[in-house]
Amino acid sequence: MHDLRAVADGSAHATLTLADGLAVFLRVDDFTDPWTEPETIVLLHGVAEASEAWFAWIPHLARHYRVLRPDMRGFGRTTPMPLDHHWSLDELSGDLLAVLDHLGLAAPHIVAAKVAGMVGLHFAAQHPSRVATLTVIGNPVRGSDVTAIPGYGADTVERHGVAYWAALGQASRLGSSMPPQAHDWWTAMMGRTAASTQAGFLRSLGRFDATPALERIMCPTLVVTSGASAGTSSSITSEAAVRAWQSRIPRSRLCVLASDSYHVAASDADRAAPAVRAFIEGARRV
Amino acid sequence: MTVLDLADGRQLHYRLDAFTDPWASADTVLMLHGLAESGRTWFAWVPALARRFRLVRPDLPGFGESSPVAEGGSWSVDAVTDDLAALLDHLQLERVHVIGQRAGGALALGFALRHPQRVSRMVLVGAPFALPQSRGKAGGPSWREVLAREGMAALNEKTMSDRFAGAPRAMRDWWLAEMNRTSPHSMTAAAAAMETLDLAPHLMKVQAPSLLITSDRNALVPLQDTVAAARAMPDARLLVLPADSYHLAATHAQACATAARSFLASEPYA
Repeated sequence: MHDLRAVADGSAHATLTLADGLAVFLRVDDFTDPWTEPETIVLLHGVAEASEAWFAWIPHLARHYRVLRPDMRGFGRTTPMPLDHHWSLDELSGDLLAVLDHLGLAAPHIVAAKVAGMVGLHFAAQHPSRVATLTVIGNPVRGSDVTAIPGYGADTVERHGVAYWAALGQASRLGSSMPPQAHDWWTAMMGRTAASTQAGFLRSLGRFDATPALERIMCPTLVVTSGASAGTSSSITSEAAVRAWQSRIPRSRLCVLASDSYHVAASDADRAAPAVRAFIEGARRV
Repeated sequence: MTVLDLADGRQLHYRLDAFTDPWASADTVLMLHGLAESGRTWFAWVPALARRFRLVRPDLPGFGESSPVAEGGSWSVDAVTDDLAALLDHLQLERVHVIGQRAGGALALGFALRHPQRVSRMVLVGAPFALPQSRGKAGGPSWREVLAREGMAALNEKTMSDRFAGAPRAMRDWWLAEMNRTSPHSMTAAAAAMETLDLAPHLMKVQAPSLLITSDRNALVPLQDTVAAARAMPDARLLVLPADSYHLAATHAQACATAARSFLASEPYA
């Protein structure tokens, strides 16, 4: 077991090797008073991203919480996956459990963006004692809703590479509020994903379904969406679409951060992070 | 933590905090800690500043993980500011904001006087302009005498109640442990430099717009000294916090960091 206090002197990173040999890269940011024992927030990035996608969130959270950012299986600096890897919510949820066990984290706050939101929902239903609160942001609940978006499929990645695939969806992913340089940065970050990981993941994504988890989630849950009701992702982001599944989570509430982006955790980080922190603080007081 | 190998073989350790939008440019803030501390002691300040500025937090020469001063070796404000200039060269930073607290504030002033073209704005927190108590006050022993006779921990312990007045026990214990890691040779050399510190005659030459923060009952730096400094400096403003601790960067981190952020960002500031 890693001693997080020793790892975290401001910002640090570490690599954990799980039982199946997966080398999980993770970042720790901790600017809490070192004479206290802080609660932990785990940030889970979306597909074709890595832990650096959360950079803007750290100043908002890390004075009061220890913040942990793993790179998901296959992504970032975690071991890439072969094209024929059989991806599942069970496995990704198991990876998260293994990381928490490795670090001795009993029940952190979990914040998950985009496709990782499905992992968060699945995990919270499977391991209710291991989650203090759950926040999901800009996420679908069925992979098939994502793969139905034109150009989102594995064939685009296999034919043109991850960066091309990422650039194709950037306008709806990030909306109109960010400058072109931000879109380029995001495309470059996503483009570093191994093509075998990304194409294999997209081949499996259509089978992902987090809806059976919804009624079984027992922790306080915040669902954040941009509410965007136009564009190719509106079937995932519109308030009505999100409310339809959010209302099935017993202790949940919906937070709409109005924006024309799909990836509200990225495009509106400086609004989303304080809202999430306020939710976590509120849940702690109950 | 990252290491810079200085020309004479000494190592300078530093931390970089990069949480600004990576696709846009951002000003950098150089943060200078006090004696017997390290760059990590800015932890409470980082979240308040790092979304707006890139931060460079060195362990000052002789302190933290940076190479300690050899027994009988020397340490001076001028030499430290030259090491800091070498760090900025290494990081390809032509011009920065500088925040310094206590002796780090004296170093910030020294840096601004020696390298005026490299400092945009400056924030000094509880900075001394002279430290007569390092020579021993009212016939008492000097810091160097306490260090030689009783050691590092005794020197730190003696000044703890003034430094952290009103702070919780756990907080004081952590800071004391942090300070006690300091090399006694480094501290002896720095104490010698503090005995002859006299910045008052040079304050009128400081060009950088500056914010001076102090407490109204500061046992290290008399309030009137900071008021006089703010008057002497061509472009300075003063923030006096009601407090009887003198380590304001620790005991009043949030208030100080918020004021520093507004000032460095040239925002209207209350």
